[in-house]
Amino acid sequence: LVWREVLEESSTNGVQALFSEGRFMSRHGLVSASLSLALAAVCATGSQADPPRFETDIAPILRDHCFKCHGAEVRNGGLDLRTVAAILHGGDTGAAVVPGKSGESLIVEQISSRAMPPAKDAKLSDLEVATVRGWIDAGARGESHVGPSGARAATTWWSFHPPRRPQIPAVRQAEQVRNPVDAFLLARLEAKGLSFSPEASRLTLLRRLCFDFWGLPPTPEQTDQFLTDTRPDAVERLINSLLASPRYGERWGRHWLDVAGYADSEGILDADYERAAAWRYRDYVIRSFNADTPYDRFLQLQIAGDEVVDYPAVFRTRKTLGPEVVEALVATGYLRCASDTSRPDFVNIKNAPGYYYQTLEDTMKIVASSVMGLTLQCAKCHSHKYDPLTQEEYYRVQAIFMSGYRPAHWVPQVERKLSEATACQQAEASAYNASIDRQVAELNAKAQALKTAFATRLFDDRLAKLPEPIREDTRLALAAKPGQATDVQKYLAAKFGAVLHPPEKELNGLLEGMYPDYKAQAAGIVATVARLQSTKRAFPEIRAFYDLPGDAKTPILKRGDYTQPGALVRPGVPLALETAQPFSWSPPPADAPTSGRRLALAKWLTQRDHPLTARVMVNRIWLLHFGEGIVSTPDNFGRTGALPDHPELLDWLATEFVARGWSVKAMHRLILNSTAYRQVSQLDPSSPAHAKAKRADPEDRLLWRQRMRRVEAEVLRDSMLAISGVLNRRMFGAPVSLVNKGDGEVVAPADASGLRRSIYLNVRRSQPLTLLQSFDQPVMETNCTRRDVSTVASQALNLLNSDTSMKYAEALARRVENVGPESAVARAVRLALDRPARPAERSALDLFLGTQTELYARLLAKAKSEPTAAERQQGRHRALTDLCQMLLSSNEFAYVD
Amino acid sequence: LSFIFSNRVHFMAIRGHREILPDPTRREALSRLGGGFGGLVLAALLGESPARSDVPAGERGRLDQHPRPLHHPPRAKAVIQLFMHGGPSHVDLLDPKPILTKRDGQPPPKEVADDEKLTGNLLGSPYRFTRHGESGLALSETLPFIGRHADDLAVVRSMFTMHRNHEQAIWAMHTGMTVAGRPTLPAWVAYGLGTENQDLPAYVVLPDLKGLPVDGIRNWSNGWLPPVYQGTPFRAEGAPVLNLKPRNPRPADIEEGRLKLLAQLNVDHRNRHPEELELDARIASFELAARMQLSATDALDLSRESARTRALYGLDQEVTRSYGIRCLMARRLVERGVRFVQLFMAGQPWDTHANNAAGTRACCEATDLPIAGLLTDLKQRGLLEETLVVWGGEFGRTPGAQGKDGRDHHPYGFSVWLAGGGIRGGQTYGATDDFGYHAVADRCHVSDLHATILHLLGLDFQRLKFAREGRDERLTDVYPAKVLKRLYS
Repeated sequence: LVWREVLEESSTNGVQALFSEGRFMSRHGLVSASLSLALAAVCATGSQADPPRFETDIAPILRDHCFKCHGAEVRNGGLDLRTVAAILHGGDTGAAVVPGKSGESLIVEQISSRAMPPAKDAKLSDLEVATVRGWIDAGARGESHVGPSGARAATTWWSFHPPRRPQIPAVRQAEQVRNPVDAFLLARLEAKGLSFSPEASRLTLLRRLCFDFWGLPPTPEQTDQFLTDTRPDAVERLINSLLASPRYGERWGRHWLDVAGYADSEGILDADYERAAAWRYRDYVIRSFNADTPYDRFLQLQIAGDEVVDYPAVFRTRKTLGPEVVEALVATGYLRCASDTSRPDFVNIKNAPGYYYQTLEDTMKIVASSVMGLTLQCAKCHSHKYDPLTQEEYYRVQAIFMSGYRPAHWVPQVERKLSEATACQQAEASAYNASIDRQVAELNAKAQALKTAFATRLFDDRLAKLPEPIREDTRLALAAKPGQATDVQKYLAAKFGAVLHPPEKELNGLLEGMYPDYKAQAAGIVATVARLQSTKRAFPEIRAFYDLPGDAKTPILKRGDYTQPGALVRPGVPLALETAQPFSWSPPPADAPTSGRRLALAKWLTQRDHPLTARVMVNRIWLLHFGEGIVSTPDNFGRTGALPDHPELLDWLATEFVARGWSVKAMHRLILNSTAYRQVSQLDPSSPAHAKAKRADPEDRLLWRQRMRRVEAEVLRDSMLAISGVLNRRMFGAPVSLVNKGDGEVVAPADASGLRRSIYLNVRRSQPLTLLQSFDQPVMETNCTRRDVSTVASQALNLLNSDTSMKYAEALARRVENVGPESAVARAVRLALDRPARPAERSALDLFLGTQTELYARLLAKAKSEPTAAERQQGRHRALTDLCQMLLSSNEFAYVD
Repeated sequence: LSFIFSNRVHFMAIRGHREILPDPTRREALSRLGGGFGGLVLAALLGESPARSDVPAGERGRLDQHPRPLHHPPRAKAVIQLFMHGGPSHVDLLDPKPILTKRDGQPPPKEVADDEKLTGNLLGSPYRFTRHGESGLALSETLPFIGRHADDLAVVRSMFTMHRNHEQAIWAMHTGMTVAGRPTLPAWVAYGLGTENQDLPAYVVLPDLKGLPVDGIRNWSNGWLPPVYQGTPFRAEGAPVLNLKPRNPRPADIEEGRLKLLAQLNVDHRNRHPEELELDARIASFELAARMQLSATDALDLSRESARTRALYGLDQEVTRSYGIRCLMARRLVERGVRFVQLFMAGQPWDTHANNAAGTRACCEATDLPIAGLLTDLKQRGLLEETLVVWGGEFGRTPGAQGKDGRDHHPYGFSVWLAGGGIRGGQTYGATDDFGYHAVADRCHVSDLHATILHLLGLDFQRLKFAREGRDERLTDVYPAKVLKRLYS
């Protein structure tokens, strides 16, 4: 057991004897974490002198033993032991603690005499009592005390130590083991007298694999081919061919975009401004999964792509950026996913830093939850109550991103962008554009002169048409200075002024109508200007993250409040995470164009033995193939998260992931070629093995069968499109704009772009596609580390009654009507459910089609007694559409076995 | 299924009328349905909780909106929230400040000068205040009809909130904090209480047909609570619920044929997947959808209301019709057991940065009569006792003038009112300073208001929790909220 290893490691510090005092958690049979932390207090490596800390050492002890009666809900004796302030305040009998004097502290009296906890409750161990004493004697300091920099907060919590490669366990039923994944699972099953379920049918496997890798059902051709492939490695071949398809990147890219919190709009404000170039990051993610970019590289580019490829140097010295640099810059879009509604005019508002800090904090939350599996955000206002993460460490991590997101010198989101060009290209372009601007200015001046000349001509021509006696008087009247005009002149000016000097906005049209010469010449100039303007050089925008010039100063914020800045901190990472290579960063020269902070983080995160990086990712892959993670809280590997169901398997997979060059596709092959993955998911009531397994492990945590899963929102929509034969497979590019119908429903546009896969639809946070939203597409307030599966009536209403659902059903009906020898009904079932219709089902469907056709035909015939042949045909089409719609609404369509 | 369609009325628990058939008959009738459906579905139709062993404890709350046990006896069973987007001007409506009129146009004393310097000299109220009822509650002349209910109103004059921008203040008022993405108060209530009528959503919102309120669909978000607790928007015209009916309605026999086929497919599939409760839940959701076609349509069929009632809500006048329809819809929904109804106006009409006098008056003219009608109607039907009505926006407006005649956002002191649901009427609670700037006496944080509303519904704000990301979340989060006992005792 990994747990034992952790403890055995501790035993080198001479505390093995304490093992016997540990309490055991019933469900997992694992050593209580409180013991781990108590141990930590005394065996803190290299920091024996450090006093215990409240957050990491004391609070866990109090939580395990005392909170039940002195906590949030119950406060016996008026005593609340949850915070230092509350402890110092004490209860009815006074302060629980006298700082610096454990001998005079009530709490010590109570716990060391074993008066508390009362009665049969487990008492504190000597070690725990000693830890509490040590903390009091050192001053009983709490949240505001962030500890000396550089001190390692030791912990024995499993996920804070590197995964160790466990031995592959021996099992009795060796024939069930396709690869080590099975050995780890089977060993646990056998210990309970259980085993795997039988292998699923070929058809079930095919569907499961297609949905897992593509998010689309198999085509009839794929089905025929796979079902007739008798080669022993047919499944492996299928897996390889699915992984090689571009559809794979669209499916797995979507999973990553969930955890990255991808959106095409800025959020926060009601305006929810659209993001111009975010989609290039979406395309980068799809391409990376298709190319099987090693996960370490994938992370490095997303966190520090600009620094990895040394963008500033390339920008200064090269002719062009080149595709590698462009890709690296686009990848940093990961750090631009968080909501950011900042506008240039925000500098004037009082609470602007509140908006800026939120973007910074959301970005940190995205990185911590997606890559590290840490609830780092809990340490923003005070040190983490459960995990060994101090408030100072939170701000050290913040200092890493402060290099670019700097509330003190914020760059509004619309201005925070790079262009796809080097300095040399930009200089060349601006020189060229300036010359165009000059030419355009000259041409505009020419056009103006032309207009003035013709305006004079118009004046003369119209004046000439006035009766001779008043011509000169009128001319003089219009030329007279205001205030000096006589009454007669005023009259003449009022009467003829507008005719002789037409208002500027009407002048051009008038001249064009009166003088063909003018029209031709003016049009010529306009055309030349337009042509010149179109030759101006512009470069595509990249929504990148990059450092701002100058030194980024990062204060600790008291209680997380930006109006209360405290001491400054240097960039860093949580010290409790045990890594071979420490976070290594030193301040760059003052004139350095980038700080190297993010590169240091990327390197630290992607080192081979990082305790979290590989574990978190393999757990995510596992979750997406089995419907449940080995750790069921994929974003929280801390003490408030779930413990791994199979800790050794998790560590074996994590080390294997790194050994295989961080290849995600290699992990798919490994996991999917297991016996475990290929089991049936259905419970067999007649099977004694299942009956036994159900009793021993009702929740299937040990994986004695696969898990039935509902398809996600995007998969549902994409599958409907595919089955109806209308799916537009075009990849990449700007997102498809959605249409708000005005009654509250948001739909895809009616043209071909509206038939593209869901990943290419515009993700406007305030305006999600109604169909996707109702099926639990996440609302991206920050990010989504795990999809909800809800079942609500609005989903049913959408499938039964929406125009969209009707449209897809009708497309399917047209697809199956009058084709080939197979009946429409049989073909519809085969397309929608990938299997032949069963006999009883077939007759029910035929009966439905007959009855419903008759009803529709009579409806169309209205008052007439007998429907015509055409009406019958149309009735049959409608009935068939109904049949298709019910197939697409059925549970079998929405669930994968 | 034909039973569901033809005998729909038997399922409806109309509060105050109690037209439910005796249980045995109902059970017997339902058993005709039972053959093809899961036990869970049957139980749901009977309004019973599923058998305890059927559903894992953690999942039960995610599947349904059945009534749940309360923390203490409730005073209110339902809430109608009249949300006033933009921030109504407290000093012009509910909190008279004669000194503003006296010093109109003069610079404010330092302690009440605008800290962002966006407003300048004091601006007297353009309206007169009059005293109403036995209590003598002072209300603006622009609220003559609501004034008739003065003895039922409790005006909280000491509200304050945490932000002076619309979105953040709206989130605070709806969700307890100034961050986006949290569940709204009604979502918490639906989660905590469930609802009495399983044929209608627990949480219904009534937006203006003219457009969404500011902040759009986030106004009724379930946040990270299960989506079953999200607000369902009902429309005042056409189909009340999105996709409740197809564009071209189908004759009943055709509709029935479709649903029967779907049921056949699903039952066959479920029989091949024993003990997969999700499948039962999905079957039940389609059945609820079918029932909603009738229940929602019926609930919103205002043609059944008498001309007198329609006039009471102002449906016969152009200026009040739109808000009146929604007030009447709210009464019909609450009457049918909907737990929480929110009314919204389009955009943010109370946001009177310029010409406050005309803007505020226009808002009052559109809403005063309908709201008074709602209070009258609830009262005459005996519903006001158990229905809490809450009126207010995300903040108030500055005592100083913005530009010539406008008022800016103001979070430091403002007013809301409550009525019904156990509220002791005819009282004011707390006070702002002489200028209406700071809440000074009995200050009431938005969390206090939330705690009080939950309390009236039988929920303890400290015990209403949802575990997420390793933390117990609460509507009031870590704010030291207090229940405003004086409002109801």
